[in-house]
Amino acid sequence: MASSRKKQDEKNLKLLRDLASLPHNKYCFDCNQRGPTYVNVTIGSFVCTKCSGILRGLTPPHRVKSISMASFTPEEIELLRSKGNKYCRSTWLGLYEGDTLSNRDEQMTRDFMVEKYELKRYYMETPLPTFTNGFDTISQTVNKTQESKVRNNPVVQQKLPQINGLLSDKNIKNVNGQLFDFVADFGSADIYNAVNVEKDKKNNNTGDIQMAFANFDNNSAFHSNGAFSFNASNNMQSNKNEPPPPVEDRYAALKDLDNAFKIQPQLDWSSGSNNSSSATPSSAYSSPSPQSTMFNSPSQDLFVNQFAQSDTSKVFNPFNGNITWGESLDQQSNSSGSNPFRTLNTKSNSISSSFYSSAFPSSNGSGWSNPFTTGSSTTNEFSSNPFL
Amino acid sequence: MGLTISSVLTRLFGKKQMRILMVGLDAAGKTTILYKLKLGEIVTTIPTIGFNVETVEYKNICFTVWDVGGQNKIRALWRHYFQNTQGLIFVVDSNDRERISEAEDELKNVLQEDELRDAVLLVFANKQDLPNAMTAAELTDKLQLNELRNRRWYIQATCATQGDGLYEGLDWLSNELAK
Repeated sequence: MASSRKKQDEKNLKLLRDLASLPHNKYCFDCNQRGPTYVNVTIGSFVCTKCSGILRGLTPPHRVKSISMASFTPEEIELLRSKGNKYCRSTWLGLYEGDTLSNRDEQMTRDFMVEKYELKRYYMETPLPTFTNGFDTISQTVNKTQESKVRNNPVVQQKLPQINGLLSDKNIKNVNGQLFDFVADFGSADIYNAVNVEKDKKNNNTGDIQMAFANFDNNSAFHSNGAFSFNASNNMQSNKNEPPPPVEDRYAALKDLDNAFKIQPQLDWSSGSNNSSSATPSSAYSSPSPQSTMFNSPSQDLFVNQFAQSDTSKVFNPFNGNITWGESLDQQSNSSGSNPFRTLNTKSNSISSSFYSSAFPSSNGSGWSNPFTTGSSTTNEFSSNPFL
Repeated sequence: MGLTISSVLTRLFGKKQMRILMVGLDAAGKTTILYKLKLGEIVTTIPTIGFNVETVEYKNICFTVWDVGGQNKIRALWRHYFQNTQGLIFVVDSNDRERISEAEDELKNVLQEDELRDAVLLVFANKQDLPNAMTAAELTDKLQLNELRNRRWYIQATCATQGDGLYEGLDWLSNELAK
């Protein structure tokens, strides 16, 4: 019994030393010092002695074990095999863009570890490399993670199956603010949202993004260009097949929207210029008009995308590479402007206005003849739209 | 006559010595406790390889505290520190429910040692500041302290980072020494 345990220990130790000699495990995960002597069995990384001491003092403490002075269970070895410093970098430093971690004094190292582990400032959920069906994994893990406040969002659930399978693991690794390759096909997608995105970006990138989620009062999509109504009608169709939305308060607005839709079945959005109520986005739901299908067919997803972007960029949006990495989107787009939807915005204003003009009967003769917003000045008086 | 006077003087003004051995599982907080007692501040510790030893004066008693590394492959070295130990401090991470049975096993092993038959046992239920920490009563149960025979023991809830409970523990040790 004792000898078999010893044998197992020796086997585990050999496996562990093999793992420690892999290139990415040759440097301390937390300070980059060469030659880790400890492992962090809480997250599965290889660290030096000094950092192992700091890890023990975090809140909550991480569990560290000496490679040479501790014995390991097969589960711990498996954890270290499946994770290791490479995986840990993609998760715990997923959103980190700074310089390398070497040449720091102890206090800096500690402060950085507090940011990294206690505040989870750079944390990004990443599927384990062994998983191939990346999106299912992400959607599951995303729902667990604390940063994700978009749990059970109907938009998320609706969109996941559609693009599941389009994405390879390579694409998923790109989510750190980078765009999926196929997004380029939708390059002209966001032509309605030029101003709003910029405005929302300013509004939201410093504040608590989650707070603004579903706060439709602040959402320019409901006020300015009416694009949301297509998105919303799209949602309505998809929601029929879905379980009832969660009872969280943040969806109360959607519920109200639903009610508004039921209350006003007789309204026709295309007659919006005279009827103040129909100027509201909610009226679009009731419309079975040909225009609706025209917009739904080629650009259905684009409106969803528009909605997601303007709505605080916290919504799961498959087309801007920004699943629940809403914060990363903000960071990235501020610094690099790598989002093609946004870079294209400036070019496509004229297209969008002409598109609208031709697509809808112009009611007020102005350049921006959006039927959804006309009459909005009187909306507050008569409308039952909960968002205005 | 001169001998008597000197012994009386020693008794009145001299310092008593007490040799303390502090053991426990790795990451229980032994080294942090040692330096909190010695320096009154929290130092950044690294996992102890070998031992640390410091003298701490409290209530006119000079405690010599040996803090021995607790990682499982070096626990076999504890026995080299048993000789002449008057007080054993066993430190438990109260938040570590997974390893409490491991701690219990190690405590039992240590208490079986003949060299420690006269040593008093002080258990520090450390890390009480953590939200999921077991209480001293819970740990008394888990460590089966009530089943100990021929052993003077005491359990003290502590939080080494705040310093809570440490001197209360030393109080008990000094009282036991005076008996």
